[in-house]
Parts: sequence; structure tokens; C-alpha cells
Amino acid sequence: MTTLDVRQHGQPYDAPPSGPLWSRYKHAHHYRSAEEEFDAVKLGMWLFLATEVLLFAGLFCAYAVFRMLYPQAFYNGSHYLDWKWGGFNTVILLISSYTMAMSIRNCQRGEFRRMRLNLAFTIFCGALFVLIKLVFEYTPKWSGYFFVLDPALHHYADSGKTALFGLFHYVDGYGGKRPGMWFNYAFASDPYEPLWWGVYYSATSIHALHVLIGMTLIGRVLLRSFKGHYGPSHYTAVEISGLYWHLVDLIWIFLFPLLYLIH
Amino acid sequence: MTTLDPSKAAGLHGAAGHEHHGSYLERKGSFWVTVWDWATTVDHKKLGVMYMTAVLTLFFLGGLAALAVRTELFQPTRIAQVEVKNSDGTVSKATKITGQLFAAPDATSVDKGNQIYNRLFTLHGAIMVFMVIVPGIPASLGNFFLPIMLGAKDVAFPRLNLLSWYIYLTGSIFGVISIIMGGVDTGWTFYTPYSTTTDASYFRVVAMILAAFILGFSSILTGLNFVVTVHKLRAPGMGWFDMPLFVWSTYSTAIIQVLATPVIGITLLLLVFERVFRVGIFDPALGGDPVLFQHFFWFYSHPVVYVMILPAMGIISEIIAVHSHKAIFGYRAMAYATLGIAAVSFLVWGHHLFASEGELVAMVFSALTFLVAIPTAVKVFNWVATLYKGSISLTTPMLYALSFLFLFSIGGLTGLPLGTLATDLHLHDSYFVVAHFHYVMMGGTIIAFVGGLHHWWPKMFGRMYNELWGKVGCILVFIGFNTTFFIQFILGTQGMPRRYASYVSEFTLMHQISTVGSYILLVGFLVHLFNFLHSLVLGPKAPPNPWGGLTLEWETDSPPSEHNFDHEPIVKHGPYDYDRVVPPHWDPKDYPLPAGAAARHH
Amino acid sequence: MNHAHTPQPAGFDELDPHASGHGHSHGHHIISGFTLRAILIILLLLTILTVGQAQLEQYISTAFELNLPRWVNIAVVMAIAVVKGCLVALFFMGLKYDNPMNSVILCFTLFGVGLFLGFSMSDLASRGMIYEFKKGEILKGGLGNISRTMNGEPDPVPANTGIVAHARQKKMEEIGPEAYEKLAAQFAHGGHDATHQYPPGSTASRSRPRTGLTEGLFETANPASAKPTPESHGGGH
Repeated sequence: MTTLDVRQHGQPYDAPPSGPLWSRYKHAHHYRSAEEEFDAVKLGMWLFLATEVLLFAGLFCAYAVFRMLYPQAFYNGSHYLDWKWGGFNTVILLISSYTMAMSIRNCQRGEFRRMRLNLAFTIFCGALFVLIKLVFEYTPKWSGYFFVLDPALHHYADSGKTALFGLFHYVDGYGGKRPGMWFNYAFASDPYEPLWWGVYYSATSIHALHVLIGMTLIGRVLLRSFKGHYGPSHYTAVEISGLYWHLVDLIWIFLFPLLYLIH
Repeated sequence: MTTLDPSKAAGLHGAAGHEHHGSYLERKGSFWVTVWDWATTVDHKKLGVMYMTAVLTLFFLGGLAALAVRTELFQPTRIAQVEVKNSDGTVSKATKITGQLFAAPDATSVDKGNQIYNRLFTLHGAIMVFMVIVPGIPASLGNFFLPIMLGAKDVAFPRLNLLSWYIYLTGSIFGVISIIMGGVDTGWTFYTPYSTTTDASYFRVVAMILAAFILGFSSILTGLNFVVTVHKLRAPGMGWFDMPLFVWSTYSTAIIQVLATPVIGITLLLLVFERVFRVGIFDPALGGDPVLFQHFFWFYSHPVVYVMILPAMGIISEIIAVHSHKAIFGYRAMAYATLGIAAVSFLVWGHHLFASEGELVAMVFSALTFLVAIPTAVKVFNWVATLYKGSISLTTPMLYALSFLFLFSIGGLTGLPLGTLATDLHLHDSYFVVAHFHYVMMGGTIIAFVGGLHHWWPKMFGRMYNELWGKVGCILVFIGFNTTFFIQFILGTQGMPRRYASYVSEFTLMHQISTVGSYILLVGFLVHLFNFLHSLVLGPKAPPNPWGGLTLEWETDSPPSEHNFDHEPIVKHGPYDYDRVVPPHWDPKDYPLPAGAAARHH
Repeated sequence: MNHAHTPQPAGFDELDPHASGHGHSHGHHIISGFTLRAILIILLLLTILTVGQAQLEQYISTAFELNLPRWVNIAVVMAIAVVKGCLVALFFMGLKYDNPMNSVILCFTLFGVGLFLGFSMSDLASRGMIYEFKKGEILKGGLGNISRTMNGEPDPVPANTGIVAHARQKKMEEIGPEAYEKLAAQFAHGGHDATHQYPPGSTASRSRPRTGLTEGLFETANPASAKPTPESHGGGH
């Protein structure tokens, strides 16, 4: 058997400690080169993204089937949602996607301060997205309590009931738009509206969960970037966290019109 | 070494010669150090061995449940009015239940026993499918041999591999928790509304659903790892069509795992939502559709049927080529058929729903279903053609491969009447279906798995098993299997529905034959178990290449060293070039070829 | 041997058997800042466009009584979403500069999604096409007899009432018909038939009767034709 040893044993980093961590990174021992490792990791990430797309396919399928069966309920449903919040959240995610892409570019060019700023801003956008969803979208529909700054609040008669030191105001009859058996919104006009809420809450909550996971991944990259793990010759983790974040954006690009705009 | 320049590296190490590494099984120190080493290992071989242990343990657990089910069915359940003599000598009438294994001695109702029966067959199905057959071959033998057959040091993402092992363990623990809490009676398919309404006040069903959900993640990560490994870590000189067929089939399996498993993820998640939050998607009481659940479920579970069978087909290809010392017939056709089966698997899920879905779609699905027969038949034909004029050594693995050909063909052909709409409506949910999928899943997958274990056992553990007892076990399994399941085809066509704890008296004899067969099956597997355990302790040391194989795993030591190869191999010949290459490290004295075959090899 | 090993081509590099070094020097392509910014701006413009067209459709429907077919809205909105998605995938995710294998994976995945949606929907749409009984029976508004509690306590929704109707009934009992009327005017989907007064600025009530892709399919489910009794007030389309 002809043999040829180009794969090395041992640690992925060079032994003599000189220069920042990223410049000393070679590759894991079972790869032939850093290039090969980068490619492999990216291929793996794309496969993982494929699984994420198919995960959401289930939700899209449920949406499509029930929209087809009960168009009026879904039509009503999309009108309960405020396209302004949805649109604002879309813009937030698009911008965060841009800053994520920029941070990879910064990393490739060795602009570490900018990279960290972009990463931090991306996380901030993610947090803003989830916060808006929770405070301005879920809470009022579920419980009838509006956040005091919610512009929609002044459309309705305030019942005088407040919660959390006046931060939330109760609007009588607004809440109760819950899925399935917890539905007790008194003014629904279509008998299948609970189903719409089932689809809505399932899809958006699972998406929000992905936003949180994406934030965690980017947060890890941000922390490690302070230690100098990433640089022009080694930025695999930045790249794949970015891919994940863009996927979250991609899903929302489809969820937004489906839930908020189609009538 | 620090250089990245490959040409220098080659020169350097070529001059340095072989540095020898110890076997991967070598102990790393004291007992606890070794345990810790195994628990945190990223070595694909150790992970493969751990998977194998877990899968075999769960296989015996699931098998016990099956035996309990068969024992319950030994006699039909009957409620009889009997006369009982009281202590004061008077005679009174009482209700007595006969033929029910799990009933309390003084039970007056069959309900309790029937519920236990429901839980047992669910337990059997869920364990066997989610914890044994689906992860079985890819995670144990695949993990162990895929990188070695490719000439790689490890899978592409070793730490991910470790993670997926722990996810598998977590999932199995959830399953066991559900069993300890009292078990689930929904059937392994978790059809709604069984899964949304039974045991409403307990979390057993949720625990079992979560177990399947978590196991799905393990399956996804393993599949992802394998795809990337095959793409990126093939040894120099190994093109796509120089890969062993086991690698091809594991690769196709991995693609299915990646593409299909997320759908069961979301399905089970929605099912949990359905159960806990009542979102209504699968609940007709809210306008949802329970048949939609079946669509969701089978979009995953049908391709997964091929996750179960494809790696088995890969093993059979290896065994038949190696043990008949002949190139596989139609290598490329085999590779394409493997991919073809994987592709078609996504088009046919609706044939599980013939009785519940709309007729229009049923017709389309029925037509598409027959497509599967083409690549499958290509494979069976090629295996038989490989055997033709081969130098067949009737070793235990080869006996298993021959059993596979026989049993799998029966399983495959009985799929045809089930894929035909008109006949399926008669046979749907009858014992015919039970027999059919046992012939495929057990006669196919498990038989190939055990065959593969025998084939690679010397490589994995460096010890030979006892050939005689291996053959005895194989023959017992073959007889036991056919006794158990062939009669069920007849039972099914005569109208015995699946999942029932009792039956009309006319079926008694056939059920009893089936039950006896299952005991023979148990004996066969126990023979194998003791044979394996015996070989671990007392078996003779295995040579590196006992069978005379040509794929890369036979070039390593038995058991392989920590990094599989001392140096990266360069592939100079195809995996089955028996007509022009002398197998490496092969001493025909160990396992002599049949008479007349030696001339062809020298 | 049908798979006999072919002699390696002249340029074969044993250290790089899959020519991994040649195909993707652009694995490390640095996307220019201008491109990224341009893409972001296009994406934002498309977002405005998609919201705008939905608003426009609403507007012309209420102002001019001009109801475009439903598929127009769906097709336009989804087309814009697809364009946006492609831009994100090609530039932000770098598929344009990447190993084509990754694009192949994405395409395969989308094909799988298409199969899944296509077959599932065509079943649900064609149920009962040949045999009526296959369609099943779903009581409008749900059966109501679902267990609301996990531990199987008595069900608060009376059988055959439906959750939606039950919620309405309870609210009426709670606050009385007049107060209910008042709130209903504020919240419910009313339509534009000028019989309703809406609070200024309320977006929750802008809607118009629609019946789905198949006109008239759900006529019986649409309370618009029903007399506006207090019970059906919420649905006064």
C-alpha cells in the first residue's frame, strides 16, 4: 500500500505561541487543509439549514392547507395583525442581516472593532425583534393588556385596569385571541378563527425561538472575537453563524407577507 | 509537524517511515480514566461501539415486548361463566377470563389486560423503529466503518458526532421514562386522535413524543456528518465511483435523514402543541384535520423506511462481494439504484394512507409506489448475478446475506399487493401488513445488521467468533423468523386485523405457530449473543483481513489503531477488483477458499 | 469490471484528489460593501412595495368597490417574497460566490418542500371528489366538545356549540347585550357597508367580504347573508 501522510496529528493550533489566535489556526487534524475544513463546515451548515427549511415547511404546509380550507378565517386573522409592527420587524431583520454580512466582511479584512460593533448591533436587532413581538403583538392579543407606548392603544377605550406599575393597560374585550381551547375572543366572526391563531402562534413562536438561537450563536462569536479567535484567515464560525442568521431572516421574509399581508 | 506544504510533508513522513499507534480499544489508564475517555471520546470507532451496545440492548428490550405480545396471542381471550365452589360448600357463578396473559387472576373485565397489550405493542414498535432500526446500522456500523472505508481519520465533525450520541441517549432516556411512567398506547405512529386524547392527565405520551423528537435530532446530525464526510474526506484517488457500496448506501441514507427527519420534528412539535395547548391543527373538533397528521408523519416515515433498508442493502453488497470473492455485478447500476431508491422514497408516502386520504391522490401515490420496485429489483438481480460463478464461502455473514435475499424478496414482493389500491383496501391494517413490514424491516434490516456484525466483528474487536455457533444461530433465526411471520400473511388475508389482543377461534392454530416461531427466534439471537460475548473473552485473535476483502477497512489492523491508518492511504484500485488485485494482509490459510477458487486469485 | 479504475488524468494531483483547491478560490470571496448596501436598499424597497401593494389593494377595494381576484394579491406578495429571498440567499448568504454544491442542496430542499406542500394540499383539496363520504364532516365552528382541561374535568364548552360561539355567548352574559354591541362595534370585522361606525384610526375593522379562491364555496359559512342579529353581529360582513 502506498502511503502518504499529509494529515497531521495533534492540536489544530500551531505550537509556538506567537501572534493572535486566528493567525495560528491550522485546521482540525482529520482535514488536509484549512480550505478543506472551511468548505466542509460550510457544507455541513448548509445541510443543517436545509433541515431548518424543512422544519418550517411543516408550518407552511399547515398554513397553506387551512388557508385553502378556511379562507375567511385566515382573512380575518391577518386583519387582526398590525402590518406596521410586522413591517417594522421585517425592516429590523433585514438591517440585521446586512450588519451580519458586513461583520463577515470586516472579519475578512481584519477590521475587528467594526466587526464587533456589527455583531453587537445584529444581536441588538434580534432582541428588538423578539421584544416587539412579545410586548406589542403577543401580549395584547393574548391577554388584552396593551403596552402603554403601543400606538394602537389609543384606538380603544381604556378600561382603567392597569398592570405592572401602569406599564400595561387593559382593553376590555380585546384579548382572548388564543389558539384552540383557550380561545375566548368574543367578537370573532368566523368559526375557524381559533385555528388561525393556532397556526399563527406556532409559526411565529418557533421562528422567534430561532431568532433567540441565532442571537446565542452570534453572542458566542462576539465573545470569542474579543479573545482573537477570528481573523482574515480563520472566520469559519462567523460565517456559519451568519448563515444561520440569514436563514432566520429568510423565513421571516416569507412569514411576514403570509401572515400580515395576504388577504 | 507545523508545515502546511503537503509536498514537504509527504517527503518528511515518507522518510520517517511508519509510526505505529495502538489499538483504539487500548485502555488509557485506570478504570475510571478509561470510562471518562470513552464518555468524552470523539473517535468515531468508540462512538460506533457505544451505539452498537445501546442499539443491541434496546433491541433485546423491544424483542421482549414483542415476545410478550406473541405470548398474549397464544390463546384468544375469552370471558367464561364458571361455577366456583365457595368455602362453605355452596356453588356460585363467577366470571373467569381465559387466555389473557396480563390480566390479574381475579379480573372480571378484559379492559385492563387489553390496555397493557396496547402499551406493549406500542412499546415494541416505538423502540424498534425509533431507537433500533433507524439509528441501528448507520450509527453503529456506519459510524465505525464509513470513515475507514473512505480512508479518513474520522468523520467530518467528530464533536458533533459525540453530541449526536448524547442526544440519542437523552432521547432513549425520555422513552424509558415514558415506559416507566406506564407506557403509551397510541401505536408507534402516534396517530391523532389517539395521541391527543389518550392518557389525557399524564405526560407519558408527551414524553414518548419528545423522545422521538430528540432521537430525530440525533439522526439529523449523524446524517449531516456522513454527507459531509463522504463529500470531503475521501482518500486521495477515491472518486465517487470508487467508493464501496456500503458507503454509497450510507450516503443515500444520510441524505434521507437530513431531508426527511426535520418534518417529523415539526410534526411531533405540533403534536405536543396540540396536546398541551390544543392548537387544533390535527383536531377535527376545531376544524383541523387528523389525516393531515398522517401526511406529515409519513412524509418523514416513508423515506425512513429506506433509512432502515438502504444501509442493510449496503451491508449485503459488501458481504456478497467479499464472501464470494468476486466483483459486484453492475457496480454503477447498484450505486444509481441506491440513489434512485432514496429519490423515489420522497414520492410515495401516501400509500400508507390509502384508507384515509382522498381517492385522487391515492391513485397518484399508488402509481408512484410501483416505481420503487425498479431500483430494488435491479439490486436483487445484481446480488444474485454476483453470486453466479463466485467462489462462495458459506460463512455466517454469507448465510445471513443469503437469508436476506430470500426474506427481503418476499417482503418486497408482498409490498406489491399493498401498493395496489384495490387489494390494499382489503389487506389494510391486517396481519398481512404486519408480516410484510416485518419481512422488510426484520428480514431485511435486522438480518443484514446481524450479518454485518459477523462480517466486521473481527475488525471491530480483533477477535474471531465461533463459526459453528454463528451458523447455528443464523439457521435458528431463519427458521424462527419464517415460522413467526410467514403464517401471518395467511392470517392477514383471512381477516385478522393488527393490534388486536384477541381473535376468533379459527385463528388459534396459526397464532400458536407464530408464537412458537418467535421463541425459536429468541433462542437464535441468544446463541448469537453468547457467541459474541464468548469471542470477546476467549475468541482467537483475528488477522487484519480474515475474509480477503479489498475495501480499505481490511488494510488496517484488527482492531484499527486510534487514527485508523498509520498513513493516509492512496486508493489505487476499485473496492471490488478481485480479478486483478490480491487482497492485502490476506492469508488464505485462515479461511481457505472453496476448491478451485485459489487459481483465480494467484 | 464496469467500475474499473480509470487511469488518472494528467493533471491529477494526489494530494488534492477532488480538485478542491481549484474550484473555489472564491470560498474566501470578500463581498464588496457597495453590493451589500445596494442589496439592503433593494430589500427595503421591496418591503415597502409589498406592503404598499397590499394597502393599495385594500384601498381600491373599499374606495372603488373594485375587488381584484384573490390570487392577484397572493401572487404579487409571494413573487416579491421570492425575489427578496433570492437576494438574501445569493448575496447575504453568499451562494453566488460559493461552492455550487450548497446551491444544489438548497434547491433540493425547496423541491422537497414543494413535494410536501403539493401532495398534502392536493389531497386536502380533492377529498371527496369521487366518494362524497371521504370528505368527512366538520361541524362549522368546531364540535365544542373538546376537553378544556388536562385532567379530564367536565368540559365547559357545551357540546355542538363551538368555541367561537361559546366565547361570544359568555361575553354577552357577562356584560349584557348593550355593552356587547358597543364593544362589537369597536372590535369586530364589519365591512364597509356604512351601517357601522368605527372609531377614527381603527385598523382592526377594515375588511370586506371575501370568499376565497373559489367564489361561493363557503357561502353558507359566510354570515354576511344572515340577518344581523346580535349573535351574528360580530360577523356582519
